[in-house]
Amino acid sequence: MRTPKILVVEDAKAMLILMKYHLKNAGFDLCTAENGLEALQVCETVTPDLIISDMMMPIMGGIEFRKKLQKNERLRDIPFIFLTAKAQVKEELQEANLKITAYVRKPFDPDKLLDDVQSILLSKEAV
Amino acid sequence: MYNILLIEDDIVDQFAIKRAVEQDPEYSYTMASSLKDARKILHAQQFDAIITDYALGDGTAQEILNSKIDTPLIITTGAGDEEIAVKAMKAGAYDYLVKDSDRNYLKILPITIENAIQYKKAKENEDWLRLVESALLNAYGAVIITETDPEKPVTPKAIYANEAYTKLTGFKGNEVKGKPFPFLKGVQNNTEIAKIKKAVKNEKSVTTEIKGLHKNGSIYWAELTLVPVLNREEKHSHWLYIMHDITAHKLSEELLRQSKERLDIILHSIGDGVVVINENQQIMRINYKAKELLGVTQTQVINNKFLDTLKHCGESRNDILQILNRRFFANYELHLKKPQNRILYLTGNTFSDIHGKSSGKVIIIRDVTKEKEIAQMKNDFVSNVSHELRTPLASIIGFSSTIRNDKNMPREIQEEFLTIIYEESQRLSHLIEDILNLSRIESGSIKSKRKDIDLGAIIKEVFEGYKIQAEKKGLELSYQIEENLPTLYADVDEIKQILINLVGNAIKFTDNGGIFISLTKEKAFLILKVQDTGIGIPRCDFDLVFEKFHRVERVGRQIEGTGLGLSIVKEIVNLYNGTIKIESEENNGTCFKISFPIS
Repeated sequence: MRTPKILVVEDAKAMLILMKYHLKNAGFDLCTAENGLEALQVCETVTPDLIISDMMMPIMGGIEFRKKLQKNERLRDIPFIFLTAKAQVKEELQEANLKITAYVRKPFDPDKLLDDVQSILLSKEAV
Repeated sequence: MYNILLIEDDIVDQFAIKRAVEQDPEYSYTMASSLKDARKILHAQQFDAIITDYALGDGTAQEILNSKIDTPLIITTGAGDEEIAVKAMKAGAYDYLVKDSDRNYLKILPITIENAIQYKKAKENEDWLRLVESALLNAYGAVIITETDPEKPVTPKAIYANEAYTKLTGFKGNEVKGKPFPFLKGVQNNTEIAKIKKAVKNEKSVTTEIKGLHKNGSIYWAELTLVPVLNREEKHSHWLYIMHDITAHKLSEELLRQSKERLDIILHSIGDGVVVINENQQIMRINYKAKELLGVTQTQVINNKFLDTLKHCGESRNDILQILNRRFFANYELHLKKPQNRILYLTGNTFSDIHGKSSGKVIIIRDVTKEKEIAQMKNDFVSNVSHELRTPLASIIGFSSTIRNDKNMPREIQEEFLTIIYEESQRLSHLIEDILNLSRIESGSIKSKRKDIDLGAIIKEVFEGYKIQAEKKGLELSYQIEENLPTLYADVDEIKQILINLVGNAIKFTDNGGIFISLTKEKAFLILKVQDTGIGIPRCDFDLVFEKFHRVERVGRQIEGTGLGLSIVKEIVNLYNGTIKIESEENNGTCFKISFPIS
């Protein structure tokens, strides 16, 4: 089995360091982007197995980024997790008519996030 | 022509009297030869005089006297019957004639008839006068009669005033007598006086309103009519002044005027728009505020259809049309797009006429645009704040729990994470500090401790504080302060906060070059400039940078800070009635220029 590749989109440096540490320790392959636009550029050459994205970011926020992904056939069905400090995630997703795999609210428990990532990847494999 | 009834049973006498009466063409007569005849005739006809024989075949003239008719009665009796005649006179006969054998009485007869007729006329006149006088006396309208002296026709003298006049003015008839225009006492209005005098001079009737002075000093209002009266020779001889008390009417008119004035003041002073329309939806009243809120620019809109004045409102007109058909509506939310975006609350209620039939509506219009905006801003602010607080908190919790759970973490990684935790805690602490500061300034809950301060000294202090930080980044930090500048009446901490935020931002966004602070005086303003050679601000963001949590988006740049720094600067500058301007080009440095008015 090849190592799953995870794309982390996050503008806060500290948060990016934290995610890198945990995901690498868990044995995942990692690529990162600081905003939606950068992430789309990454996706041009890479097809990740899972995307974890912040919502509030400069240049292109998470909502816009997800919208763009949904329009792309190759990227549309990649499992997608929002990791955000926003209070009203559900409402915003509904308003923008977005479908995602899960959302995790900041502050979060890193071990819990890893568990979620593992189980999402496992269920994807099963399909 | 006078009608005379002759009652005589003697044919010879009949003939003699007839002849005597017939001599005067003024008279016509009717003959009755018995009491029975006479009764019948009197029943059907009125006479000016009756000449009757006392002793008649079927009775005496006493019977006619008893019937108390109004016509003067002249009794004829035979010679020697004077006693009877006297008795008849006592019973009410006007006169008597004794039939002498030479028939001399017939010569006196015409004079006697003439006298009797005159007597009857006089009596009738007297009755009529008494009637008229009584009518005058009891009339509701005040009446004065004046007599005109041909020598001085413009000052007729009062000869009579009735009860109603006394009641109206307080002056009795005898107090008025001899005076030309008693009702003008205390009248101030010269045009009314001139009008009355002119009418008198031209002998024309006139009606006018006067404000008179009652004997007790109070004011009365009367409608006055002057009527010239002509005498028998068709010559002007008297004036009739008729006055109607309209004080109550005038008072209620005045009360109505006052209440209208009060209503006008209220209408135009209150902050809400008010429109009153009638049952045809025509505007009866509209205040300035309503015109402003609805964007009505025409000055004359009274009587215009309400909806016709709202043609500029576009689609919103249909919404208004719908609610106007309701009897009552409260806080109907109207989103006005034209002539400008406004959110209005409309409250309307129907008023009724005396029969309870709807006769129009009062509509109150409240502008809630600002409130709605503030509510939205508050909402946004709270959700922004919670997001901004959670972000550093997420790092703190994430890293600390990572260290705790990973017992085998290498020492240097642990150090790195601890540094991050410390920095994020600092950031959180700054953020909380900034939020509190901003909310305190905005709500005005802290009273700034103002005194005359030297801005230059504060610049030097802040300069010292940032010197090392600038040096570390390889930036040149410098300042220039004009000499002999006046002091500023301000709070030291607030001014320091402005400088800390501006200089801190400048260092943050400048990688090469330096930051230059200057203080100068232009007219009545102290000008504080903080200039840098940093990344600059795009023109489209000039206003946005002062908004809370706004950050200019830049590729590849990690932005630290709270996003509140410039909001705080702007709020403080507002406190001092100052202005803040940005001069900047993207990638070509930024200059913040603050003008403080010197108090």
